[in-house]
This record gives sequence, structure tokens and C-alpha cells, in this order.
Amino acid sequence: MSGDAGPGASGAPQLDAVIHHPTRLAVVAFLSACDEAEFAAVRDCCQVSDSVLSKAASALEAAGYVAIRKGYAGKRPRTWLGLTDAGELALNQHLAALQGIAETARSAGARTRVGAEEGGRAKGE
Amino acid sequence: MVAQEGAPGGGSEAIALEATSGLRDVEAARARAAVQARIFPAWFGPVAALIVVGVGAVQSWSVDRKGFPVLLALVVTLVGLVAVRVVRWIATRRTGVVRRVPLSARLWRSRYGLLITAVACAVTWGAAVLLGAGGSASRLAVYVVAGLCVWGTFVWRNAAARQELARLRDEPGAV
Repeated sequence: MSGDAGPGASGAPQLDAVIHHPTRLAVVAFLSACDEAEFAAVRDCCQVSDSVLSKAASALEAAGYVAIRKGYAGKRPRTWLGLTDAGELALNQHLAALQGIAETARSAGARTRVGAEEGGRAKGE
Repeated sequence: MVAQEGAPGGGSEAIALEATSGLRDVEAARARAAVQARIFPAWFGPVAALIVVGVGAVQSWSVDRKGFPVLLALVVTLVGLVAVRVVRWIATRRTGVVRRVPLSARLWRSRYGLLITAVACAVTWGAAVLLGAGGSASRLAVYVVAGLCVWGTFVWRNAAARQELARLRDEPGAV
């Protein structure tokens, strides 16, 4: 399974369906700033429950964006999450797509506003 | 948002706001990861200080001696360096967030702590010499002060990182 990462037909980066979900995006963004993070640290920083993070991590692992490693700290089992190269690439493309959407929407909004103002002025005259 | 949607270009504004909010969330999550990685377990400072003082005790004992004490001081210094690295590695794993930072960046981040430690050590050395303490006692005093400074630096760094983490959590853009 993989997301819609990568440039679309127009060549512009497209939103990634896998990491578009807010929790998954938060997890991927968190992992992009570190080499590896323990399950509990990600859960606390993303402010989600164990089950929500578990589901998000499984989905990201299935997409090949996150590597999950089981280990032990003494006798306690620990789960470590790390972003893969594919995950990093997908995040960068998703962010580029978001950036593009924000800019396009802002300029479209500005154009509509200017058009409406000019229309209003023409009616007034 | 509702008001904007009613205004000309409001739909585009809403989309722009949503996309910007997504980007801000990503930046906030990245910042939280970076700050979380800076927090060391509370035991790390005292353990690092004990290693520094232990090395200092053996070094000060070896002052004005020849042969075996000099060799032992050298070995203990090397063991101390390895011990600090091992303890640091364990502490990093215990924080839950592993982030490899280049040595240059680590030194730059610790510049104030290093500067304060250097000044404190110099002042201690000067005070010990002025008070007429011998080379061995002066060296031990310097190592004790260095150990305390290392401990203090980690306490201060942890407090600063926790404060920043709390600020990031309270920000409106926080996830």
C-alpha cells in the first residue's frame, strides 16, 4: 500500500492520502525531526491514546513510511518508531502540496476579492 | 471562518487557512520532537558529575607521583571518557527520542554551560592557589567544581527544555 505521493499529471506535488489524516501527519512530522522515537514519547507528544497511535503506526508501516522495531529496556518491552526514506519523501511532497494549495487558494481569494470590489464599483457608477 | 465564507473569496481563504494550519501543525510536531530529544533523565547529571569527580580524584592522587599512579590516572581518564559516552547513550535511549546531532552543533548549544564551567574552574584554581593549597588539592577542587557545573548544566537544560515543551503544547497550533 502506498499513498498518492508524488507529482500529479500537472507535475505539481499532490497530497498523500496515507499521511493526510491529522494523527498520521503529526506522527510522521514528529518522526521526521528525530532518528527514532519510543512509542510512549510519540503518544505523549502527539497527545493521542495508545490505540489511536497503534492504528496510525500500523497504517504508516503498511505504507512503508514508518519502520517499527521491538526491543527491550531491561525486562520492559519497548516499541521504537522511525521514519523511512519513503516516509520522508512522502512527507516532503505532502508539505509541498499543502504549501501549493495554501498559495493557490490565497491568490484565488485575492483575485475574487479584487473582482468583487471592481464589480461593486462599476455598479455604483 | 463562517464570516469569511460569506465574504468574496471566503472559500479560498478557508482552504488557505486549513492548509496553513496543517503546515503549522507539522512545524509544531517537529519542534516538539527536537525539544523532547534535549531532555535527559534526572539521573544523568549526577552520574556524569560522579564520573568527572572520580577521574579528578585519581588524577589529583597521581600528582607528584611516578610510575604506576601515572599509568593508572591515564587509564582511569580513558575509562571515564568511555563511561561518559556509554552513560550518555543509555540516557539518550531513556529519553524516548533519539536524535543524532553533530558535535559542532552540540558544542554550540552547550556554549554557555561550557563557558560557565571554564570560568568556575579557573576561579577555583586561582582561589586554591591563593589559599596555598597544593597541586593535588587544587586539581581535586577544580574537578569537583567541574562535576557540579556539569550537573547544574543538565538541570538547567532540562528545565529550559521542559518549559519550551510546555509552551509548545499550549500553543494554539498544537495537535
